[in-house]
Amino acid sequence: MTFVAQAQIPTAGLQLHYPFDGNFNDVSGNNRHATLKTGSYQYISAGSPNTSDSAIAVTSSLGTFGLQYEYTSAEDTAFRT
Amino acid sequence: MRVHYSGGEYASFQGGYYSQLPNTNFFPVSTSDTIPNFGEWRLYTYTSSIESDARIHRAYIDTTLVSEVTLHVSVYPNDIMHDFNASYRKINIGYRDGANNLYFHGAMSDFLYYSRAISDEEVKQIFEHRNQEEDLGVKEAK
Repeated sequence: MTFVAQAQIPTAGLQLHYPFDGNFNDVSGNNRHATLKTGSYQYISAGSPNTSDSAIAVTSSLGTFGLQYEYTSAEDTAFRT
Repeated sequence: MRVHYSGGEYASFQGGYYSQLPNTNFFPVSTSDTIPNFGEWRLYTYTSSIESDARIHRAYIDTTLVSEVTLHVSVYPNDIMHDFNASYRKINIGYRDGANNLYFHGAMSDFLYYSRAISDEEVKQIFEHRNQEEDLGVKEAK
Protein backbone atom coordinates (compact mmCIF):
# COMPACT_ATOMS: atom_id res chain seq x y z
CA MET A 1 0.00 0.00 0.00
CA THR A 2 1.30 3.39 -0.88
CA PHE A 3 0.26 6.69 0.58
CA VAL A 4 0.96 9.85 -1.38
CA ALA A 5 1.01 13.03 0.65
CA GLN A 6 -0.76 15.75 -1.30
CA ALA A 7 -0.12 19.39 -0.54
CA GLN A 8 -3.18 21.43 0.32
CA ILE A 9 -3.84 25.13 0.09
CA PRO A 10 -3.64 26.55 3.64
CA THR A 11 -7.08 27.52 4.86
CA ALA A 12 -6.24 29.36 8.11
CA GLY A 13 -6.96 33.01 7.50
CA LEU A 14 -8.02 32.48 3.88
CA GLN A 15 -10.29 35.40 2.93
CA LEU A 16 -10.48 35.26 -0.86
CA HIS A 17 -9.88 32.54 -3.42
CA TYR A 18 -10.59 33.33 -7.05
CA PRO A 19 -9.74 30.34 -9.27
CA PHE A 20 -11.25 32.11 -12.31
CA ASP A 21 -13.07 28.97 -13.37
CA GLY A 22 -15.37 30.79 -15.76
CA ASN A 23 -16.38 33.53 -13.34
CA PHE A 24 -15.10 35.86 -10.60
CA ASN A 25 -16.58 33.90 -7.74
CA ASP A 26 -14.87 33.47 -4.40
CA VAL A 27 -14.59 29.79 -3.42
CA SER A 28 -12.98 30.42 -0.02
CA GLY A 29 -16.35 29.87 1.64
CA ASN A 30 -16.77 33.57 2.38
CA ASN A 31 -18.72 34.38 -0.81
CA ARG A 32 -16.82 37.58 -1.44
CA HIS A 33 -17.25 37.60 -5.19
CA ALA A 34 -15.27 40.12 -7.23
CA THR A 35 -16.79 42.69 -9.55
CA LEU A 36 -15.54 43.63 -12.98
CA LYS A 37 -14.71 47.34 -12.77
CA THR A 38 -13.37 47.99 -16.21
CA GLY A 39 -12.33 46.47 -19.48
CA SER A 40 -12.50 43.19 -21.31
CA TYR A 41 -11.02 39.76 -20.86
CA GLN A 42 -11.11 36.23 -22.14
CA TYR A 43 -11.50 33.00 -20.25
CA ILE A 44 -8.94 30.34 -20.90
CA SER A 45 -10.39 26.91 -20.39
CA ALA A 46 -8.43 24.18 -18.72
CA GLY A 47 -6.79 22.06 -21.36
CA SER A 48 -6.32 24.92 -23.81
CA PRO A 49 -2.98 25.25 -25.55
CA ASN A 50 -0.25 26.51 -23.25
CA THR A 51 -2.06 25.73 -20.03
CA SER A 52 -3.78 22.98 -18.09
CA ASP A 53 -5.29 25.61 -15.81
CA SER A 54 -8.34 27.77 -16.30
CA ALA A 55 -7.61 31.48 -16.19
CA ILE A 56 -8.58 34.91 -17.35
CA ALA A 57 -6.47 36.63 -19.95
CA VAL A 58 -6.07 40.25 -20.93
CA THR A 59 -4.21 41.51 -23.97
CA SER A 60 -3.37 44.95 -25.22
CA SER A 61 -5.86 44.46 -28.06
CA LEU A 62 -8.59 43.77 -25.52
CA GLY A 63 -7.70 46.92 -23.67
CA THR A 64 -7.79 47.43 -19.96
CA PHE A 65 -9.09 45.16 -17.26
CA GLY A 66 -9.75 45.42 -13.55
CA LEU A 67 -11.43 43.35 -10.88
CA GLN A 68 -12.35 44.61 -7.46
CA TYR A 69 -13.64 43.43 -4.14
CA GLU A 70 -14.69 46.32 -1.91
CA TYR A 71 -14.95 45.42 1.74
CA THR A 72 -16.70 47.08 4.64
CA SER A 73 -15.33 48.46 7.89
CA ALA A 74 -16.71 45.35 9.58
CA GLU A 75 -14.26 43.33 7.47
CA ASP A 76 -11.20 45.37 8.39
CA THR A 77 -9.73 42.61 10.52
CA ALA A 78 -9.89 40.28 7.53
CA PHE A 79 -8.09 42.59 5.14
CA ARG A 80 -5.84 44.86 7.22
CA THR A 81 -3.01 43.07 8.93
CA MET B 1 -1.56 34.63 -7.71
CA ARG B 2 -0.39 32.64 -10.69
CA VAL B 3 0.33 34.65 -13.82
CA HIS B 4 1.47 34.58 -17.38
CA TYR B 5 2.89 38.01 -18.06
CA SER B 6 2.87 39.40 -21.56
CA GLY B 7 3.37 43.10 -21.10
CA GLY B 8 1.35 45.99 -19.84
CA GLU B 9 2.70 48.33 -17.26
CA TYR B 10 1.79 46.54 -14.06
CA ALA B 11 0.77 42.99 -13.30
CA SER B 12 -1.01 44.42 -10.39
CA PHE B 13 -2.65 43.45 -7.21
CA GLN B 14 -3.46 46.37 -4.94
CA GLY B 15 -4.97 46.25 -1.55
CA GLY B 16 -4.49 45.65 2.12
CA TYR B 17 -1.24 47.28 2.96
CA TYR B 18 0.91 48.96 0.29
CA SER B 19 0.80 45.91 -1.88
CA GLN B 20 1.02 45.66 -5.60
CA LEU B 21 2.15 42.68 -7.58
CA PRO B 22 4.60 42.32 -9.03
CA ASN B 23 5.81 45.80 -9.95
CA THR B 24 6.06 47.35 -6.53
CA ASN B 25 8.66 48.95 -4.39
CA PHE B 26 8.98 45.58 -2.74
CA PHE B 27 8.90 43.37 -5.81
CA PRO B 28 11.92 43.79 -8.09
CA VAL B 29 10.51 43.05 -11.54
CA SER B 30 13.01 45.21 -13.34
CA THR B 31 15.32 42.26 -13.71
CA SER B 32 14.53 39.86 -16.52
CA ASP B 33 14.51 36.77 -14.34
CA THR B 34 11.47 37.94 -12.38
CA ILE B 35 9.15 38.34 -15.37
CA PRO B 36 7.78 35.01 -16.57
CA ASN B 37 7.99 34.10 -20.21
CA PHE B 38 4.73 33.95 -22.11
CA GLY B 39 3.13 30.56 -21.69
CA GLU B 40 4.91 29.94 -18.41
CA TRP B 41 2.94 29.93 -15.19
CA ARG B 42 4.63 31.47 -12.16
CA LEU B 43 3.37 31.85 -8.63
CA TYR B 44 3.67 35.39 -7.24
CA THR B 45 3.31 35.85 -3.50
CA TYR B 46 3.53 39.00 -1.42
CA THR B 47 3.33 39.07 2.39
CA SER B 48 3.34 41.91 4.89
CA SER B 49 3.51 41.53 8.66
CA ILE B 50 4.48 43.28 11.87
CA GLU B 51 7.42 41.57 13.52
CA SER B 52 8.81 43.11 16.69
CA ASP B 53 9.38 46.80 15.95
CA ALA B 54 9.19 46.58 12.17
CA ARG B 55 6.94 45.82 9.23
CA ILE B 56 8.39 43.16 6.99
CA HIS B 57 7.51 42.90 3.30
CA ARG B 58 8.40 39.69 1.50
CA ALA B 59 7.99 38.79 -2.14
CA TYR B 60 8.28 35.33 -3.66
CA ILE B 61 8.34 33.98 -7.17
CA ASP B 62 7.31 30.34 -7.13
CA THR B 63 8.97 29.17 -3.91
CA THR B 64 11.92 31.56 -3.92
CA LEU B 65 12.08 34.60 -1.67
CA VAL B 66 13.19 37.33 -4.08
CA SER B 67 12.78 40.41 -1.92
CA GLU B 68 12.61 41.27 1.77
CA VAL B 69 12.21 44.84 2.94
CA THR B 70 12.13 45.91 6.59
CA LEU B 71 10.62 49.21 7.69
CA HIS B 72 11.44 50.09 11.29
CA VAL B 73 9.04 51.98 13.53
CA SER B 74 11.84 54.27 14.61
CA VAL B 75 12.32 55.47 11.02
CA TYR B 76 8.88 55.39 9.45
CA PRO B 77 5.77 57.15 10.77
CA ASN B 78 2.79 55.31 12.13
CA ASP B 79 0.73 55.60 8.96
CA ILE B 80 3.40 53.72 7.03
CA MET B 81 3.61 51.05 9.68
CA HIS B 82 -0.07 50.43 10.02
CA ASP B 83 -2.76 51.99 7.92
CA PHE B 84 -1.89 54.66 5.40
CA ASN B 85 -5.45 55.21 4.21
CA ALA B 86 -8.15 54.17 6.64
CA SER B 87 -10.99 54.86 4.21
CA TYR B 88 -9.63 52.83 1.30
CA ARG B 89 -11.20 49.39 1.48
CA LYS B 90 -10.63 47.83 -1.90
CA ILE B 91 -8.83 44.82 -3.26
CA ASN B 92 -7.94 45.50 -6.89
CA ILE B 93 -6.78 42.84 -9.29
CA GLY B 94 -5.34 43.64 -12.70
CA TYR B 95 -5.04 47.37 -12.20
CA ARG B 96 -3.98 50.08 -9.82
CA ASP B 97 -6.63 52.45 -8.66
CA GLY B 98 -5.86 56.15 -8.36
CA ALA B 99 -4.44 58.93 -10.43
CA ASN B 100 -2.41 56.67 -12.71
CA ASN B 101 -4.32 53.54 -13.52
CA LEU B 102 -1.85 50.88 -14.55
CA TYR B 103 -3.01 47.69 -16.15
CA PHE B 104 -1.99 44.08 -16.39
CA HIS B 105 -1.66 42.26 -19.70
CA GLY B 106 -1.38 38.52 -19.53
CA ALA B 107 -3.26 35.67 -17.88
CA MET B 108 -3.94 35.05 -14.23
CA SER B 109 -5.40 32.28 -12.15
CA ASP B 110 -5.84 31.27 -8.52
CA PHE B 111 -5.82 34.51 -6.60
CA LEU B 112 -5.57 33.88 -2.84
CA TYR B 113 -5.78 36.47 -0.06
CA TYR B 114 -5.05 35.73 3.60
CA SER B 115 -5.61 37.83 6.70
CA ARG B 116 -2.11 36.92 7.84
CA ALA B 117 1.33 36.60 6.34
CA ILE B 118 1.74 33.02 5.21
CA SER B 119 5.04 31.30 5.89
CA ASP B 120 7.77 30.13 3.53
CA GLU B 121 6.51 26.59 4.01
CA GLU B 122 2.95 27.57 3.14
CA VAL B 123 4.14 29.27 -0.04
CA LYS B 124 5.68 25.92 -0.97
CA GLN B 125 2.42 24.13 -0.13
CA ILE B 126 0.47 26.36 -2.49
CA PHE B 127 3.05 25.91 -5.22
CA GLU B 128 3.03 22.12 -4.80
CA HIS B 129 -0.76 21.98 -4.64
CA ARG B 130 -1.08 23.64 -7.99
CA ASN B 131 1.55 21.46 -9.57
CA GLN B 132 -0.20 18.35 -8.26
CA GLU B 133 -3.57 19.47 -9.60
CA GLU B 134 -2.06 19.90 -13.03
CA ASP B 135 -0.25 16.55 -12.80
CA LEU B 136 -3.42 14.78 -11.75
CA GLY B 137 -5.60 16.53 -14.28
CA VAL B 138 -7.97 17.71 -11.57
CA LYS B 139 -8.78 20.91 -13.38
CA GLU B 140 -9.53 19.08 -16.59
CA ALA B 141 -11.87 16.71 -14.82
CA LYS B 142 -14.16 19.43 -13.52
